[in-house]
Amino acid sequence: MVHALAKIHSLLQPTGVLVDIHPTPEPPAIQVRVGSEIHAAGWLREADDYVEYEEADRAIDDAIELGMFVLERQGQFDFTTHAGTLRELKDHLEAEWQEAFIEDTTILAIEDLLRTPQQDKEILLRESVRISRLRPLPR
Amino acid sequence: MAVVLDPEGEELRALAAFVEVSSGLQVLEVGCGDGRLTRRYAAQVARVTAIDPDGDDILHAQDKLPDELRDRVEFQAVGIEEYRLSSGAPSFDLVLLAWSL
Repeated sequence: MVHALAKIHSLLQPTGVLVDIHPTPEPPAIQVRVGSEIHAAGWLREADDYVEYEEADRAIDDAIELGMFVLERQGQFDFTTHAGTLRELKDHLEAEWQEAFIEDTTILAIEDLLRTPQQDKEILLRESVRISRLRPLPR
Repeated sequence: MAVVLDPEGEELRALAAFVEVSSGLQVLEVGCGDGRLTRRYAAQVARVTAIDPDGDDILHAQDKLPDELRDRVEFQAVGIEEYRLSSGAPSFDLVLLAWSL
């Protein structure tokens, strides 16, 4: 990963910036919205416990320590995936996020919350995402 | 309903808060996948080179790109470590590493 950042450094104008966006290592929350109410259902788990996001954080730290970049600004935002049904969410995860899985207790909680007769309802998958702006230093 | 990603536009809002997206910007997007994010900001910059090592994703990205963006977005099926500039000189004002490190 640090090699990738070194390559990026070589491609940037001296006045350019690198913006990195990647999720934090915390498991994303799964919620069910029914009308205007949002209910917690559980968390999305991942086979390798989101180790790749910790590695991404480390790569950024290493690139800063090596003097490639200086961190100018960092923040976080919520990235929310909306699904109408559990089947839709599972299909989406199967296609886009093979390491992720939903625990049985969370599935039961989602099904229970969706059992309401109210029509206006959906499942929300809320990821916390870190955004960083880095300025290249002369090498 | 189909699965919808970030209809609130939080990702684009965060990006706009972190970098001054302007019409003169030359952008390299690394790990563009199917171009989901590319399509959201490309109209506001001069040119985007969007790369991803997954050839299938790049084909999808090319298919989904609106006609009005075709003159300013170039997708390439290549990883960052293999990517080569045609001119050899540093040329990007912004490198966007989106969900790919």
